[in-house]
Parts: sequence; structure tokens; C-alpha cells
Amino acid sequence: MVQSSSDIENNKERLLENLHQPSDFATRAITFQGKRGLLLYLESVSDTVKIQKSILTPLSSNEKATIEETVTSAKVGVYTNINEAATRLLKGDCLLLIEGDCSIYAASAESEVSRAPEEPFNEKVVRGSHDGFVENMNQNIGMIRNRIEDTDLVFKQFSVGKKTKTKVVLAYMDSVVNKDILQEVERRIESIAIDMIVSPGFMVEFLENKSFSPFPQFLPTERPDRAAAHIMDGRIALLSEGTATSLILPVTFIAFFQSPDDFNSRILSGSFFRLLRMLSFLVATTLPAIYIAIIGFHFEILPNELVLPIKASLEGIPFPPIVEAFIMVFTIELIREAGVRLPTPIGQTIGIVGGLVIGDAVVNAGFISNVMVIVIAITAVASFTVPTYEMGASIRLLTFPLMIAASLLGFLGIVMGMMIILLHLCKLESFGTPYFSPFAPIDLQGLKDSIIRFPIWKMNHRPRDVQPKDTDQQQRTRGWAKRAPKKRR
Amino acid sequence: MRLKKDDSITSAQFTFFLLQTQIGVGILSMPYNIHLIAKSDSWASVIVAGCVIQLYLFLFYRLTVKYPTLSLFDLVEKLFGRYIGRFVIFLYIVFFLLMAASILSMFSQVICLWILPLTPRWLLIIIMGGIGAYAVRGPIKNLARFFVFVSVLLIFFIVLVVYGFFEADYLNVLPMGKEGFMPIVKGSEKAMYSMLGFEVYLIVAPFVKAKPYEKLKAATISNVSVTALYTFLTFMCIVFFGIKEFDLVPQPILYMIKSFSFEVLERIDLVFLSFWIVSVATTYMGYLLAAARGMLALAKTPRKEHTPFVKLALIPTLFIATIPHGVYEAATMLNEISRLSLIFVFLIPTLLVIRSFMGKKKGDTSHDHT
Amino acid sequence: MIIHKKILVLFLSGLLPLCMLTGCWDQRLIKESRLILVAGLDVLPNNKIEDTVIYPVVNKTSGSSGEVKSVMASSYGVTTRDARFRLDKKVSQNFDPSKNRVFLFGEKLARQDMYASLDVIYRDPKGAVNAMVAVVKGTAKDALSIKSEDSPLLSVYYPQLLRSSSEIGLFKITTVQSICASMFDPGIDFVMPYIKPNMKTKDRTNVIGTALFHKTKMTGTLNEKESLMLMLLNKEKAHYSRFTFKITNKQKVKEEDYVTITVNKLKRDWSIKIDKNNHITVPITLSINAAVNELPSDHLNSHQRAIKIEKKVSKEMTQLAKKTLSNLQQANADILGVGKHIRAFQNDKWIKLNWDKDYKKITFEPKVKVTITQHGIIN
Repeated sequence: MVQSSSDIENNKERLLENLHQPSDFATRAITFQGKRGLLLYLESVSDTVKIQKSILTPLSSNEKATIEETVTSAKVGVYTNINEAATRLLKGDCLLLIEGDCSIYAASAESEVSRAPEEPFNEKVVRGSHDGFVENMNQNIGMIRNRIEDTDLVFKQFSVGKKTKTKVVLAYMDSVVNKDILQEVERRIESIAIDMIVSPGFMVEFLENKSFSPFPQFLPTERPDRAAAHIMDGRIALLSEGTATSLILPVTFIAFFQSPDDFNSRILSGSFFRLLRMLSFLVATTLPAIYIAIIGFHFEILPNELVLPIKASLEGIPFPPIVEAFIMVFTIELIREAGVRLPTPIGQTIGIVGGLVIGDAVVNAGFISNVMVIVIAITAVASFTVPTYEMGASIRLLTFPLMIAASLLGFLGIVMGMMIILLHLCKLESFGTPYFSPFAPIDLQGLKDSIIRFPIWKMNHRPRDVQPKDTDQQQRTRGWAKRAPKKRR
Repeated sequence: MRLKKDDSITSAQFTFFLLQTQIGVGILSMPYNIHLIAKSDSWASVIVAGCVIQLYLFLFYRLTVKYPTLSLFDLVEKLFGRYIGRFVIFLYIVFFLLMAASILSMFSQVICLWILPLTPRWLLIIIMGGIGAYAVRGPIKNLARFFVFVSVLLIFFIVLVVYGFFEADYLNVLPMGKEGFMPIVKGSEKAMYSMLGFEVYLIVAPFVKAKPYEKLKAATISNVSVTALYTFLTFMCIVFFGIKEFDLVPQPILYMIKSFSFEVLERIDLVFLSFWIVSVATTYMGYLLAAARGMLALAKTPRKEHTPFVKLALIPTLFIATIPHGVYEAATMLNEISRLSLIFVFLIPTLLVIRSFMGKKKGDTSHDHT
Repeated sequence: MIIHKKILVLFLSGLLPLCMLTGCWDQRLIKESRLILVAGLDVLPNNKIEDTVIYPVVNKTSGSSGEVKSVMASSYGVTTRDARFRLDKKVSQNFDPSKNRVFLFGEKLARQDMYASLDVIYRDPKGAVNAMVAVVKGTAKDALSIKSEDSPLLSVYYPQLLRSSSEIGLFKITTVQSICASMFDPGIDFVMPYIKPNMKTKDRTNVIGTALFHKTKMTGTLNEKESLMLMLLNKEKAHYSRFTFKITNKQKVKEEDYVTITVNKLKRDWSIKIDKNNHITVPITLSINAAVNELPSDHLNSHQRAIKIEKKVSKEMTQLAKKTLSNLQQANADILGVGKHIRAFQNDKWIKLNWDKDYKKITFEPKVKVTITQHGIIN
């Protein structure tokens, strides 16, 4: 605890020492009501225009009032502790030291370095909002506030990371959220003791129950509309400074298969897309395994017309099916991984080289049967159908143990593997809410918004898995329809 | 976790819990076993068995009305006294372990017979046992969720078998009652063995958050469904095979499905067998849970969780399951151990009910619920 | 939680070495199996069983898919399984019978015990119980050595042949499984398609009727027309059950003597009457709604004319039914399941019957009533 003194040069030296002589340190001598003063700020985080407008100009014009009254910055703090003042400096405040005054004035002047909101790269929608979170916390909060103009909407701030002091904000609806869950989340956030929080991935691993589960237990989203919708369901959104990704918690398995598009398209088509995605989950996890089991164990299950073509395509392939499948899956993962971080034009080239050239050549060379190429390609496409990247990755990972099981025990292996996955899903809980709801425990109300989607006016209740305080989300929507008597016809 | 841990299940989950425990390894060979005795009236035997079980469910209901929070083991100890009670609990644990083991054994035999003749049986037993243990660990509600979810597969059972209608000859069930009444009753004993599993009622009922009559209702729904399903399956087998061919097929349902073929799937029996594995697993889990709960009751640990005992229950089942060699021995073992159920499922609960009413007359000493 | 993870790790590490063992145990790769697609069984003069199989061979030159052709191999042994064992010794890769689509039986074998040669299929969990069956006049090997013009693969030719024949109402498709119940049931018997390869040209096989079975033995045959009639008597209507009858004798052009009808709708009424002497009478009435397909001699412009033809056809059909039923009785083949009906509905009488002998004694009283309801798009 270093107290400031009335000697401003001394204070400045101490501050510099505290900050280890930063290179972006800027200082400017001023005079205020005749007294000598110093204006200190960090060029990198403070906005010089703001300093000019709200500090320098008022200071030079006004000669009567105190500093707090004069400075027109949004926030002005008074500190006598050098350490605290140094922290303010780091946050972008501009410090004012006045000769003969022990206190250090900190006027907010942080520069707003932020980009314009863009549509998130990996959560594109066809219709609806094309808005996306940015790295700036305040802007993100504003985006949510714009969507939920209610006094119940609470933003609770935490600071995580002993060194980084990352701002973390919990957003929730006070009247809806389950208090037990909220308390538990707060308790867990407060118990995080780490120097540095960089990305949401850090937060996830500190907060989730089962880190080794293949399934993501928080829903990462960069879409403010999605976050707002989940907040209205009684879930909690976790925003953190410096990342455009917010985490929704607790979530269920099914949330990863939903897209805002479902509600922007018509009921039937929306339901169809949902079904398609659930199907793609099954295909992506089990199709290679089923294929391996069939050609390695149970080819009698194939219809007569298919047996010969498949046999013909497999003839002369040097590898057992499991190896064949691994080679193909591995190749596809390689192409994906190579393409993911490359600039788009090069990425496309990789796709073409990988997909067309390797795929065609490998079949022609007789390494891999063409049926296997078809199977693995369908699997890969299906795994990318899942709207959430994390879930897609998990699914691709689950394919491997199932393939091995299938190559060992055929269908029996697949069933055993699926049973383990199912049991795991049934056991998994995220903050006390069952992960596999509404399937297990089965919830008929919740099923309305699961593998298919019911009309929005049929969903009068919030999802029950989060045990919201306020379960009704709407009533007598379409009042006009109910009021209208039959004779209208 | 500081979140409130409340291990309870709903009455709907209870229904499926019983349903999944009841439907199990026996589903494949039950029609044949009954057929050996009751011939073309086998389906009537199943109904008789269902009625008997329903009767016992009423008895169980009486017990749950009187002691809603006590499980079978608590009841045994309470009503039979400390020493006899604990001995009976021990016997129950042995019974449940034996049941679990014979299910595993039968499972591995059927798999060896039908799809994987060369795979070592111990491997199948270990994998199945491992999955069972993984499932039983942790709260009962998780297990109940799983049971409810996999009940979807039962629909496939029915759909697959319904296809047999196209190739059935209804004259095969006629004339009814040809063999007289006695074979039906005798056959119902065999049917009952395949419908065992309802006894977990007494173990799981305290976890059900519902009034006693709702529990009875749940159990009744389960029993009626199982009886209906088994009657249907048995009926289908009779009309499909006729009386003479039936004598040759010890797993009639699989054999029947084997002969169906669709455009896309040529051999449905493989699909059916895959679903059947899940049903076997659930039954095994039910008994493993029962055994683990029994061990918990015997051990009297302060933490009321059965998770630490699951391993203890798992290992003997694995060893016992590997003992029988060949289909004959496994079938005999399952049959003989099922026969024990006459004591454990039918006799002892009856004694419990009688004892509980005697206790009532004596005075209110037994009303302090622990 | 910690223990739980340890178990998981143990479990996974246990699985790993198992993965190394991939390919052990039950794996049977489709590419390494000789798929038997058609099989034929004969009995040799020395009472050995000759097993003839057709399997596909893929000629893969390069690239994706190759050319498939079927290859025949045969061997003999004391039982079906023994013959298969000897076959395995001759042919590279192991035989896999699970995709067998057609079983052909030489007539000589069929007249012996059928179950003995089928037992191996019933007993095998992978046995192809869906395979179609047929009896070959001559030997099955002959039928399998033809080179069909219709399809290069016999495994395609025979199923299609049997299926198309079943569509014109000659028989119902019989599979290994569908005959099994009848083999054991004393009250009902079964039929199989009866085919004959054209041994001169060696390019086609003809369906020449049905083979009648009693219990497990073949005991007689029916020709095409009788087969068609048997189907009707058995209340089975195919898509196109067609009959051609001679109705006149006086036309100059021979072709004009005939009429062809297609059965559109079929109704069968029958009852089984047992009198006090245990004599069984079975009146069968078939009511048929038919369409005239071919009638070159005349035109159906008046209803009278139609009735005249109806009468003629009905008479012919009744004759045919009588002949068919007497053939059945001669072969002692209770295809209609009269015995089963007696057992089901008059069980007290069934117990007293000796069906093996009494079936021949029952009296069938067939009657066919044909009504012409359609006559094509010209009169």
C-alpha cells in the first residue's frame, strides 16, 4: 500500500515504478487554477480525443470549481493509493495530479477500440438478424439490452483471472432464472483461481461438470438474438471481455441442433430441417460403423441386388474395412484441418485437391473401395450439418470408438457403444439440469421444440429442464383466432 | 456439487423401470418354453401368469401403503427382526446376483449361437457387465431416464413381429383348450419366469415421488403391457410355426423374424437381436441395482448411496456367468435360478404382508418410520 | 468421480489391445467369401448327395467396379454338409451360404426325404431360409449348367423366372422357411414349383407345373393348368391367373376355337362335412369374376352371348378342378389343409382319423361359377 503524497513528481515516479516504466506512458504538464499539474495516461488504451475534449478543454476554461466538477468525463474517481491509481491507468483512465493535492483523480478516457458488429462466421442464418457479438463487452451488453428491454434483465459482473482481471458478465432474467443454478454458477466463477483467462474455452473447462465428456455442456454463440432467446428461457449467458463468444448455460443436447433459422422458416420446413439434423447426428456417428459391421460381419443383411455391387467394389482392396475407414476419415479430417485456417481461395483449392483428386485417385489405385468413399463422405457431410461447430466436432470424435467396436463385434459392438453413449447422455447434467432433456427424462411439453418444431403459439411454456421460476412464456397468443366464432365462415 | 441432490423418479419413469426390468432375456425363448407344456394354448398361459403377477402387485401395494419409505430390505429387517432379517437380506443379495449372472450367461449364449459363434463368451460377459455397472452407478433417476428412453425400441419389437401376420395361419391356435386346463396353468409358471423383474417394485418404490396408489397404477400399466406384449408374441409364434415345427425352434421369435425380408434389410433378425441386447442390458441393470441396494442395506453405511457396492455386485455376476458351458447348461441355470423366485418373489413378500398385519394387531410399535 | 474416470481409462486401455486383434473371431469379410447364390441338390445313383453351387466371380481389371460372372462347381458327399465340405476343398476362399437365393432339388432327391437335405439350412443361424425352392425334372445340376440368354447370372435368372411364374398364377413363391411348417404338420402339405431345363438348347428352363408333396416327400405333379386351378382352390389369386379353354370345335382357323379369361375376383366357399361313418365330403364352390382376354371367334355384343361362354367356361373349369383334386388325392397331398381345418374345428373327429389314409377317401365336390364382368376395350 503506497499512499500518494502531495509531491506530484514523486507520485509520477512511483506510478512509473509500479507499472515497470511502460513505454506507452504519456505525460503532459498542465496548470489548473494556477497550480501546476500533471496529466498521465497510457497512449495505448486511452483516447486522446476524449482527453482533449473532456479534460483539457474544461480544465483550461473553468477556473473556479473543483476537479470533479470541472472534468466532463463520464466517470471521475479519486484515489490516494498508488496501486489503485495504477490499475485505473491500465483500464484507460487518465490520471490528474495537482500540486499540493494528495489525491489522484482518475477520469475515464478509455479508447473504444472495437469493430462493427458482423454476422458471425460460423453461425450464419438465411433469414433474421445478421448481428453478431464483438470483442467489446459494453457493446455486447448493449446488443442484449436492445433485444430485452426489461428491468428484470440483470448483468452481473465478475472479474476473473488474478493477472488478466478479465471482465466476465452473467446475463439473466431475474424473474425467470432458477436461483439454485445461478448461485452455483456464481460460486464456481468465484472459485476460479487462475492468472489468466483468455478465451471462453478456459471458462468452459473451469465451470463444467465433466470435462472429459465428449459432449459440450455449454453452448457457445456469437449471436445476440440467440443469447437473448436463451436468456428468456431462463438460462444464463456468460459474456467475457475480449471475446465475441458468449456461453449459454446450462444447455441441453438438443440446443446444439437448433438454429434461429428454424423459427424464421415455416413450421413444416423448419421441422423438416430439424429432423434432418437429428438424422445427420445418427448418420455421422453410426454410418461408418454400420457399414464396417455389415461388410465385415453381417453381409447377409444386404438386399440381394446390393450384394454383388458391394462385393465387386471391395474385391482386391488390400486393407480390412476398419483400416480402410480410418484412412478415409483421416484424410477427410486432414483436408478439413488444412482448410479451416487458410484464406478462402487457398482453402477451396485444398478442398478440390483433397476431395476430388485424392478421392478419385485412391479409388482408381484400388486402395479404398468406392463404397467406402461414399460412406465416409456422407458421414463427413452429415457431421457438418450440425449447426454448432463444437457438437459437430464431438460427433466426429464419437465415430472412432464406434467404428472400432463395430470392427470387433459387429452390430453387437455398435449397440454396446450406443448404449454407453446413451447412458452417458442420461447421466450428464449441466448445473443440475439433465443434459438429454427432453428425451431423458422424457418431457412431452419439451418435445414440442426438439426433433421437430411445433408452431410458436403452441409453446406456451418455457423449457422445463432449467426449472425456471416462471414457467409460462405466453398465453392466448393468437387471441384473434380464438375469439373468432365459427360463423365467420 | 452443492446443488440439491434429490434422487427421486416419477411414476411414469417407475412404469418404464418395471417394464424394462420385466422384458428381458426371456423374450426370445419364453414362447418355446411355454409351448413345451401348454402347446397351442400357450398364449393363455401368459395371461394367467400376468394375472398372478398382478395379484402380487396388489400385495406389494399393501406393503407400500403401510411403509411408503421402506424398501424390501428395510422391510425384511424390520419385520423379521435383526438377525433373521439380515440373513434374509443376504439371501436376497445372492438371489439377485444369481439372477443377474444367469441373464448374462444366457445373453452370451444366445449371442454366440446367433451372431458371434467364435467370439469368446467372457468378452461379451465383461463388456455387458461393464455397461451394466456403469449404468447402475449414480442416482437411480439417471437409470430411470435411460430405461424410459430405450423403451422406444419396444415399438420396433412389435412392428417387426407384426410382419408375421402376413405369413400366419390362424388355424394353428385352434382348437382352444385342446390340452385341457392344467397345461395352461403349468405353462404359466414358465411364463412367470420370463416376466420376473416386477419384484424391483419393492426396491424402487421408495424412490418414486407419488402416492402409493399411483405406484400401483404405474406397476399395473407395466404389467399389463408386458403381459400384452408377451401374449402377442406367443400368439404370433403359434400361428406362424404351427404346433409341430414349434418343437424345433428354441428361440422362436428370432427364427420367425429371420424368415422375413424387406427390400432394404434382408435379415431383420440381426436388427431385432440388436434391440434385444438393450432389453437384456436393462434387465441386468435392474438386478444389479437390486443387489447393490441389498448390499447397501446390509452394510449400513451412513452415506445412502449404492455406487460403491456396484463393483462388489458386478464381480460375482461376471464369474458366475462364465460357469455354464453350452446352451443347455445356461438354459438350465436360468430355469433353476428362476425357480428360486418362487421363494424370493412370491413366498417372502407374502410372509412380509402377513407379518405386517400381525404387527398391526399387536400394537403400533412398527409405525416409527426410519 | 475420480474412480469413475479410472475405470473408464482402464476400460479403454483394455480395449486397445483388443483393437490389435481386429480381424480375429467372427469377422468374415464379404470380399473373402464365395457367395453361394444358387444351389442345387441331387442324389447320385450310389445314394450320395451331389451339391452344385453357382457363385459370382468378379473380374476386376482396374478402376472401380469389375465384371461379374457366375461360375459353377459341384461335388458330392454323404450329406449336404459333407458335400459342401468337399466343395470347400476344391474352391479358393470359403463358401458362404447366407445369401443363397434359390435352392433347386433334383426330382429323385425330392422323392426321398426333403427335410434331411434342408436340415443344414434350418440349423444354421446364417442359413438362407428366404431362398426360393423348386424341383427340377431331371437333375438340379442340369438346371444349373444352362447358359441363360435372359441374364448372364443364373442367380438373377432363376429368382426372376420363379417370380414371374408366380405372377401368372402358377404357384405361390415358396421359400425354405414357408415349407417348413407344412413339412411337420400332418394336416397340411405343400407344393413347390416344378421346372425343366431345356437340355437341347441349354439356354432356358421352363416351369412345367408344380410338384406335390406329402409330408417331406414329393409324391406327384400337376401340370400348368392344374397348378393354376390349385391356386384358385387354395383361395390364392395371382395378378394374372389366366385360363384358355376350347369352346368350339368347328372354326376353320384353329385359333378361333379358344377363349382366354383372366380371374379378376375370386370367392371360395367350402365346408367340411363328416357323416357318422366318418366319411368326409368337401363341397367347394368357386365364384369367379373374369375378364375375357382373347376371343377371336366371336364378339360379346350381347349379354346372352356372354352367358353362353360363361356356362362353357364354368363347365370346363369344374372339370379341371375335379381333375386337380383327384390328382392331389392320388399324391396324398393335402395342399388345401383339409386336415388342419378338421383339427381346428372338429377336433373330436380329427383324433379318430388316420389322415395318411383317410385323406384319399374324402370326396371333393368342386363347382366353379364364372361370371364375365369385363371384356377388354372391344366387344
